[in-house]
Amino acid sequence: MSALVTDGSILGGRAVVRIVRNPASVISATVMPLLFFALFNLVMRRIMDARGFDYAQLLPSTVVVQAMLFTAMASAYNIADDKLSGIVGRFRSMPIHPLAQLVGRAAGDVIRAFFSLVLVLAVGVLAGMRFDAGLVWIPAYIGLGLLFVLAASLVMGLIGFSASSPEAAVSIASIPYLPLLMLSTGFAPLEDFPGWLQPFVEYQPVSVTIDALRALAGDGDIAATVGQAVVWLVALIVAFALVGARQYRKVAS
Amino acid sequence: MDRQSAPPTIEVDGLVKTFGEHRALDGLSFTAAPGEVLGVLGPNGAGKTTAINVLSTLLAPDGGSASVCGHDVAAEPEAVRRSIALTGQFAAVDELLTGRENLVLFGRLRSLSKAAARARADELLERFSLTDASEQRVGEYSGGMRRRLDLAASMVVPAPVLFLDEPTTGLDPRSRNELWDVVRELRDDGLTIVLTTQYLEEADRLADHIVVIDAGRVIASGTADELKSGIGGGACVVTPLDARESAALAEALSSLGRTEIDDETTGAVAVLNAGDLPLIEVVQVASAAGIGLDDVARRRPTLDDVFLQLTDHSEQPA
Repeated sequence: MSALVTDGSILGGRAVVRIVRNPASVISATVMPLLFFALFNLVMRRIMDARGFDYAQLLPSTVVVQAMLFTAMASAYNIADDKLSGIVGRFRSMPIHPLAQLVGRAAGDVIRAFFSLVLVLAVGVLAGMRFDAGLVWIPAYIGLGLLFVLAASLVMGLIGFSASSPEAAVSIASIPYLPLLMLSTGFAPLEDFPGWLQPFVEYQPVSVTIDALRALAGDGDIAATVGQAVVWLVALIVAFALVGARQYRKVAS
Repeated sequence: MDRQSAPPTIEVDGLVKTFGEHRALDGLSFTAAPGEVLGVLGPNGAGKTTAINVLSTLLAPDGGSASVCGHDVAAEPEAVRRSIALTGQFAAVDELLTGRENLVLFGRLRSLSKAAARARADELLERFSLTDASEQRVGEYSGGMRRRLDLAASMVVPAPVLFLDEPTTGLDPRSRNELWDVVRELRDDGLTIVLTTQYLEEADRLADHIVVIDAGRVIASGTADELKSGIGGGACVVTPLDARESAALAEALSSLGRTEIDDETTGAVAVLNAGDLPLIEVVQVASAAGIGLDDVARRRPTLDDVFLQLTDHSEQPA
């Protein structure tokens, strides 16, 4: 266990350095979510407010989840890059803990996601978001966001493993990304979707997480929504961590 | 060196590895004696990298056995990993980190303290002539520098066995020579080195012992000299003054042995298996045929000849 913590934190440190030194990754962690926030706020706020929604309360949680998905897609890119450069094989041929690579990558993603999340939240508050359920829920809000990024990174990580290049990894990763985000309660209310699609929209993990985040900010039933989200995310994390650990063991040099 | 005197450091016995229908390793067997450079020579797709991957515990064999320093790769992978350093086909170092940061990272992963990892990194940078570039990101390194850093990263914690998988592929001649010097130094330090290569010259210059592999099995083994003497003769290469007389020259020289056109441009003719043919006879035959000569030279057999003869499936010598 201590070998896993030591090796995992060394590799986590490497992951953070790689994120900070890669301009594309810095932009996708900071500029992109803020740009989305600003544009949606500009285009949609008056429309949604006119329909009786409080858009300043709704939008930040959507953009938070989107930022988490950006982090997960960057993770897919990084895995593909590491695998093709042979560094995954090299680490494997060394006497380090078999799960250390997975843990190190997850640690890097969570740290990147934390900064993205806090940034979006700060801008959201500036644009009028309030934690009406009480400020004590802020840590839970951040925690749930990070739980989501962990699940998303593990799922996207599989794409990174199977892709033929880092660029291909990002292209393939956007195939689940776009429908999951657009067909969610993030940008439009559930009743705006066609009836046959509503069950999917309502219960898919992106919607469930966004609804739970909104509840933690004072807009919904915390116990019910957060419970549902945690079940979804923990199930995804356990399943895909097992698969991911197997993937790392299969890579040769 | 007497290869039998000590138990082998690496022992590969009847190794089989299949990928679907393809038998990448098909009963591969060889040994590496302590402190020697073993050259594993073979064309692309012969199974060289697969063999290295099995020996470095990255792939599980489907049959046969392999051991490194007495540890079986399948039963004791952890012990094997502690005994080996692997430099794969691509210089597997982190491009976004500096040379020094890479070495510190690998040192920390080998359980060195921060301070010890830094000190070791500086030593290795010095030894591999990378001190000036130590603060540059590896993305800015040349191919030769990356290779040297890759080797340095393998040396962070001295391991008794080093696997080098095609270490000079893609390097310019100067970087290649530098890398060869490094490999010789490492051998002088007492490391057992397994070097795969498709370059015969590389095996000839570096390896104490060579195994030639093709289609996943060993087709010949020995020292470079043993392999060369195994195919006999060598050749005598005769170049006419006028390339157009090539055919006539070959005709005339055929009284001395089997001939073939050696070089279309110069018209040079090779008399095969004629390493000890008195050159004066060649000159006499040519002048009797009225053909002026530009050059007559002996050619010792090269490993290329060995390699081509051994791996040429379409033209097996009778």
